[in-house]
Amino acid sequence: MTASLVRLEGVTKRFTSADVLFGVDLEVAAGEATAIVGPSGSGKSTLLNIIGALVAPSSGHVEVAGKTLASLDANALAKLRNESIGFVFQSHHLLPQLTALENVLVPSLVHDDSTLRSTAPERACALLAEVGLEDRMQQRPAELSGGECQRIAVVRALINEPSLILADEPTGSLDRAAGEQLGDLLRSLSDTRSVGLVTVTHSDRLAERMHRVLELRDGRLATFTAPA
Amino acid sequence: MNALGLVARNVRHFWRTEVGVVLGAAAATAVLVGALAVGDSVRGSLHALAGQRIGRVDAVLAGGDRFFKSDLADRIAPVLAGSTVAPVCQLRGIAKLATGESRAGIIDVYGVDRRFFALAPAPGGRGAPTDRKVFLNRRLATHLGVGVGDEILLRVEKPSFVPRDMVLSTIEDISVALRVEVSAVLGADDFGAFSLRASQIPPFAAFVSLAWLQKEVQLAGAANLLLVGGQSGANVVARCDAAVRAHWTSADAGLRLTEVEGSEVYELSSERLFIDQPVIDAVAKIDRTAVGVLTYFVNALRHGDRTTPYSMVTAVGPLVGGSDRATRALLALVPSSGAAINRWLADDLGVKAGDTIDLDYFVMGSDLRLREKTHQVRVESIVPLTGAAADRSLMPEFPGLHDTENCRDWEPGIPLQLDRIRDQDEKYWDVYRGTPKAFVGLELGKKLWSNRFGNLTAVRGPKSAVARLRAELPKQWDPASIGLFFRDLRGPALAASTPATDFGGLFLGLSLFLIIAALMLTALLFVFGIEQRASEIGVLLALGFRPARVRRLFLAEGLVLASLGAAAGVGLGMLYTKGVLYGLGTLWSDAVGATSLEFHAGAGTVVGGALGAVFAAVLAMWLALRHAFRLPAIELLQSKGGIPAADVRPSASRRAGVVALVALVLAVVVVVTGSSAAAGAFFGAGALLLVAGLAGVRWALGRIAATSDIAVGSVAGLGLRNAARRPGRSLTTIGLLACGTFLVVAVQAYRLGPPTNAAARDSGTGGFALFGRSTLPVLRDLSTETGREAFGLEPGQLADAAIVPFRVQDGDDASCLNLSLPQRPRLLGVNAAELARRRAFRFADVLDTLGPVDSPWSLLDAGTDADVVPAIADQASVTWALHKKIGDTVDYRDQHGRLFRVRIVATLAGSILQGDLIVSERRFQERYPSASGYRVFLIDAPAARSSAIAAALTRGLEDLGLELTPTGERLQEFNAVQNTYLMIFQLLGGLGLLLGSLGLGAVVLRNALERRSELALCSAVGFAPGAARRLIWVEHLALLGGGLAIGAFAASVAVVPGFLASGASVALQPIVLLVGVIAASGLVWVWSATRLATRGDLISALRSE
Repeated sequence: MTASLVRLEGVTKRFTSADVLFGVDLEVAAGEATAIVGPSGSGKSTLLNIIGALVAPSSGHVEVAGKTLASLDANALAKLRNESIGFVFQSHHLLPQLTALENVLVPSLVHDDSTLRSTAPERACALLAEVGLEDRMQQRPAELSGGECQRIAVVRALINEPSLILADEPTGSLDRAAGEQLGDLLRSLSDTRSVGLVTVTHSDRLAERMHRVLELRDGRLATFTAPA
Repeated sequence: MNALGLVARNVRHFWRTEVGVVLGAAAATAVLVGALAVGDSVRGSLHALAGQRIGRVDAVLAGGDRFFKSDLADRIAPVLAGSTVAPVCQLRGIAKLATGESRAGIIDVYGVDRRFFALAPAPGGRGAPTDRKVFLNRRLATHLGVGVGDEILLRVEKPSFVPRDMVLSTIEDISVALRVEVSAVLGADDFGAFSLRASQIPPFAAFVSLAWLQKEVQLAGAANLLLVGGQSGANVVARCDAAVRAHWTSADAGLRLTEVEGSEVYELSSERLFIDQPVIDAVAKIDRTAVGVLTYFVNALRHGDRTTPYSMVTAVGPLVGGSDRATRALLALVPSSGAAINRWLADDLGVKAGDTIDLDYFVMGSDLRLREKTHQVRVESIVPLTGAAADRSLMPEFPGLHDTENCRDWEPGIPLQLDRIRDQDEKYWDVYRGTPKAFVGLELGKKLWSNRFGNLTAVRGPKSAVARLRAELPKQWDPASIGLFFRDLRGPALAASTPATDFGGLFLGLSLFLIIAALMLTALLFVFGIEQRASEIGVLLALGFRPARVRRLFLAEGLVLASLGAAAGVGLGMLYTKGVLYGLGTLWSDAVGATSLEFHAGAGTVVGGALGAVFAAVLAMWLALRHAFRLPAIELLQSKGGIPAADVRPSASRRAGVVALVALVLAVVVVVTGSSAAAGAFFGAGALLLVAGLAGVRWALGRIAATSDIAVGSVAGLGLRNAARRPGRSLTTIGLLACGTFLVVAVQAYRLGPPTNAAARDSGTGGFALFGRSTLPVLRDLSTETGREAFGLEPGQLADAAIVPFRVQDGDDASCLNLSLPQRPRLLGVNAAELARRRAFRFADVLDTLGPVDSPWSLLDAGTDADVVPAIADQASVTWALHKKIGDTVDYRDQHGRLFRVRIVATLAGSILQGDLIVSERRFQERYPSASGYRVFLIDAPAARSSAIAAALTRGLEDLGLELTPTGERLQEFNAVQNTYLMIFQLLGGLGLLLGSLGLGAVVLRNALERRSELALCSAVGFAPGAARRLIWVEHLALLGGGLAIGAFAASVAVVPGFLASGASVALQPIVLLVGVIAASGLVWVWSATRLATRGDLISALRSE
């Protein structure tokens, strides 16, 4: 393990109706794959969204890729999400009007690095080939299976070469086989590229594939202990 | 792929949902481009009409009542090489069928030759009419219902070199009747539309042979109009004026330079009887020994009980002090003071030197009343009737006198008592003709008999000066000083072809609500489309797109859609323009004075209009999109079927409540304290109520959303709760309907009905019963018995009538019936005291720098600046036709070519005097001394007698072409223009509201689709299908009903003054119909959208949740 890619200290989150997180501390190292599990409503997705700079914490310190999120404005947060973080959602959220290849390229459209932008199509093709979709590149989401769409979403998350991938129930909408295949893919990609991976899941099979599994319970993180 | 590629793919993929956006943008573009193209069409049509009106004429010398030798055209033509110079005799006339079945008053009769038609817009070598033939322009031929070969009667003004309202001028031969056969009907290209007045409506015009007309009106070789065409380059007017100065002669000014028979003197006299002052000044410079002569016709010379009737008295004196042997005898007749009389008179009156005699004579007042005056003078000497004292040529050519054989044939323009003429008077006339019987000094003569036409009837000097005079007189004297000057016709004509009203802007304004409705619909549909893609926005935001970047992406998409819509809308816009032009040619013809408008659309208008529409559409989309990116990406990602409604902010509701309360209180204050006559105040109160209503709705929606005041104990309650869920969307719908209803109903407040009390002095009629215009001037005071007798009117016929006459200097019509921009409006000269005494008309504004006045009419005689003439005009003319305001001036040139300014010192509110500038008669006559008589009349008459009085006057003044109109009718003619525009506004506003109700349908559909899963749940828990639909119905009927009710209620307050003023005459039916159609349209859309959204298997929506 190397220096922390993600560091949370005493993070809390309160909504008007309920408090969700109470002083969460978390560190994720570069290349480390972490799964967060917990019952529904425990705040797993909220925690993931806080790490992904999509939701601001009520208090506490959040640092991602060496940047303190509280010190960044909206544009800087967007830049961080674009360049350092890749998202994979439970639903693939591919744009229906674009082909698989074009969907993958969307994040590169707003990347500041012109070299990275110009080489994005080549990289996208290579990544799609790597996930076994080289012959599906020109298909639109409606013409693809759920598993294929989710793999494209994973490739989209990687196109800007982020240091962190955040996955929110990535296998939640897939059948068991497709889910396992995606879990393998995520882990493999994380390992080969030394990309940090934080995934929120209800799936034991997916969680087992990670370096460590944390459980969110009563608003605090703890090392997961499998039930006897 | 780049951002543009992404936009292109979006447009291609979502085309089904975006068709509505494109159609909305197309509608907005169509109306915008169409409205602007209406402006182009009016401008283009007026430009074409201006070209047809002036043909190839560049400059014009318009003498008016002043005639010159028509061969002046031949003399100046060689100087103006390459141009055509056409002399024209322009006279006013009346045309009628020989059977009397059809008649056209106020026509222009032109005596022309082939040169005139060489200046036609499309000179085709048309020859001039021959003797007893007439060319009629199409408008006149159509009006009379005649064609080639038909015979008509033309009654034409018979001009006189002697001004008609000079004391001795006759009025009996004021017109001459010509029986002519129509030999051609002239279209616009044949110069049938020729006119010097800037108006889009060609006058009635008849063209006859110049030479024949000159012969018939006994003005051989005379013309009063010179047209010059084909002159290129700048300074056309200067070149023409230079040519006239170089080649004109004294004869062109009506001057006669003769040698007096049997003497050594010359005489310079004028066909106009009195010699213009500039001529006298010029003669004085050339011949320092010249003598001025003023001979006047006196009614009586009296001494004691003896009277010598009807005699000539001559005043003589040096012009500048010098004298010559030849004129010394004449000067010697006049004593240094008093009078010299001839022996015949001395014997007749029994007078000796030292006695006094009385001179009775008439003078003509500016009101055309003859007043007899008397002057007593001491007889200093008695001279024998020989030599200079026996010179019968001292009597000028008084009309009706100089060419008669005996006294009993005299017909001067003054009432004579022929029985006073004795035998010895007849004998004197037989032997000595008009030889003066008495002589006085020139100073005394001027004091007694000078008038606005001049001070001298002749100038005499030694014959030796004749050659010098002949050569130098035209050089010493600028012909412009007697009105012989050219003016540019082309420049002002083209300037006048700019519409007085910017029709593009006007129709843009009239269509504004339609445009706004189309834009709102465009934005609404666009946003609905975007809201459906909420998760796409969330994805982009989550992937690191900045909100501004995402907004730009969507706006770029909107730009593409708006551009596509604009491209389609341009074509529709052309159809819209043609539709409006068709409307203006038929249903709305009152608005454009029955002008035939042709379609014109400039590339700039089309491109500019389309770009404007695209900009407006994108702006509307931007405004509508502002809220779409306020939500966090994660919420957008999680949304299904649309952007979730934002929480209702209590502060916004509270603010709305305060606004509603304040607006309501203000509205009540305005209604309670405002006068019912103040339409503006009530309109404002109505607008405040509208604001109060909308703010109140916003407050109520906030309350409903924030509390549970309305329990969900019924389907209706649930519907209302739903309406409060998206207050912005609900308020937009209600606001659009309420504002639209308010506008189209409330403008009814500005609809002008017939005056409720036309007899009231402060009404638009000024309290007068009749308005009259005559073709030929009325040269007698119709308020006197003598004046009425002159027109054969019985004493009792006008007993209870009073007439206020106006002198007229023709010019452009500055009323709202003239689309062209008037350059120099018609001037009316009136005795302001007559109007002040009656307190006639209501003043809209008075120049306050002039201090307090008893009546603003008195301002017409105020002012000390000789070059500034105060004027009063109708406010609509000043504002809309002249584009001036109170205190502004309009430049004019007077009869002597001098520039002067007419300053607007007060304006009249909605009056029958629209179209003219009214100045005082005194100031008018100073500027236009030759403008004879009166041609416009306001007539006071009891309502019960006005028809009989109108009939009597029309009959008596038939030969003068008098046309009388009830003042209420005239006012309605003007009002019809405003009312027609209001009707157009209401119609286009109604169309906008229909479009708005379509937007309501879109809202219903969107709301229902967004809540399909909720409806499914209702269905799942046992709601019958009808109950689910009722839920949607209740919610949206509340929006429809609320919008219409708020708008209609606010508008009803705004129209209160209209109702009070016009009572039952206010047309309620169209308003009710309009609101009814809008309500029906809204119901149809709500019903259709509800059906569409709730059809199919609702439970499947629940499953997909």
